[in-house]
Amino acid sequence: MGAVVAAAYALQPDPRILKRMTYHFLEFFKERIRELVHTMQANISLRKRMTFLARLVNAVSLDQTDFLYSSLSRIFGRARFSDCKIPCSVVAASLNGEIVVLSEGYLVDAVAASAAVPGAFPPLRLGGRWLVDGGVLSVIPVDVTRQMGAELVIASHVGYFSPRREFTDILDYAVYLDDMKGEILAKMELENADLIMDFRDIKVPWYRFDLAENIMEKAHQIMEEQEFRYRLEKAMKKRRRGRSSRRVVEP
Amino acid sequence: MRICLVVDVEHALKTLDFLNGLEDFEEHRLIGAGFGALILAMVKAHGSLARARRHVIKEKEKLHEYFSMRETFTLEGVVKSILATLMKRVATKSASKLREHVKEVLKGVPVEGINVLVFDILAGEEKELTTNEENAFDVLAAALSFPPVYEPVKIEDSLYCNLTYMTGVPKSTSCDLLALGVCEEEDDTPKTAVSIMERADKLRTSAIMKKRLILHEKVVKLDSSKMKL
Repeated sequence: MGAVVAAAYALQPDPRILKRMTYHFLEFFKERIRELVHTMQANISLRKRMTFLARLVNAVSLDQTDFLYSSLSRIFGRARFSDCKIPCSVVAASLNGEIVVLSEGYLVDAVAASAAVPGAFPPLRLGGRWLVDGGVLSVIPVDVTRQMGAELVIASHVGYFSPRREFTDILDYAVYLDDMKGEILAKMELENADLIMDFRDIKVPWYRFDLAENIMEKAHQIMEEQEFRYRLEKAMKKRRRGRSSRRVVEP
Repeated sequence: MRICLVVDVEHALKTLDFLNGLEDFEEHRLIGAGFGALILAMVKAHGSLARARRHVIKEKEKLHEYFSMRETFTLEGVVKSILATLMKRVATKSASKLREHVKEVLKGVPVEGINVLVFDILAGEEKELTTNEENAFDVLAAALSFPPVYEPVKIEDSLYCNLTYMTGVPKSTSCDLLALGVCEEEDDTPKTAVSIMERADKLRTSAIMKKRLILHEKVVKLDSSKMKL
């Protein structure tokens, strides 16, 4: 989802437009979002459960529609990276284990690859590689951002993870452990960020698009509580000081 | 020196050879993760490296059947997983079954004093446990428990699973030398949702492992290519 928000913002750097677009998206795909939540929660009858399992072993993803690509096409149309008003790159993971940084071509292709949660949505073939959600290999791509030349890296941690000892079935247990791995990876990556915004208190799984409005409200509240503006200014000052002292030692 | 064995069943003989090559290996503090824990237990239960080696060769098929983390997504594995999912179970085999397998391999000897690294799935971090007469089989089962084949193992109030499944290797502070079993990388493209999920899961473990390996000062790599079980 980070890629979707980043690319949309890079294309139209105005939070009000982004918010309007989000509401439009939620309204337009209301029914399909409801279906997605239903499928992901696996809160379904035995017959549907069988269909769900059959899809796991016969198809490339649980979602049998082109929900992901068509919804992203509505947002990005035929816009390209070169149309972005601020520089933007998107991180995806290849099924061969490489972190792939996409920064040219159609935004919709790159974002769809980056958002293709394995098992839920089909992988996307780009540049001869099968790509899935970048979060598989890099939950919060702080290092990639540095390599791109960012001087100040603000990391947003939205991981949803809550320890528990009861699991409904194999999938539930496997997803729980995978989320825990994500949390371990995220912690390691956050060590290199200049400023961390911790939104984990929101406690919402990735597929709950239906709760978008509550999420935005809660996120604002958290930013106030965590004094985001004050910490951002402090981090920027620290960065500037670092830069000026570096200039002194440079030959 | 604290030496940690992080290996799979495929590396059993290589690991025993590695221990054999160490001068006075009993002088070191040995710690096992995954199948490495069972190797240490087998050496102690059988009394020597040579006897443990003979046991490994003799029981190779059984060891592979019980403890191999590879090929869990064969057709048979998938069918078992589907049945277990329909029956709302969290694994195809229970923790008590795993405990029985461990007991069988160790000929019923509850080996004491084996240092084992496991992953605590409630705390979200690794933990070192030491076997004693009461908990030996449970602790070793915890080290070997990997999803979707085995349930997590409950010891007192905690739930544990195989550390290597979660993070690949332990933290660099857990040992001075890491003996790591390496496997050939998979380069085929998974074609079904379940195999894509499995691949993504392995990739995430390897991403954690790569970041951790940078911090380990001494690493000995044991490959499985020449000495497969």
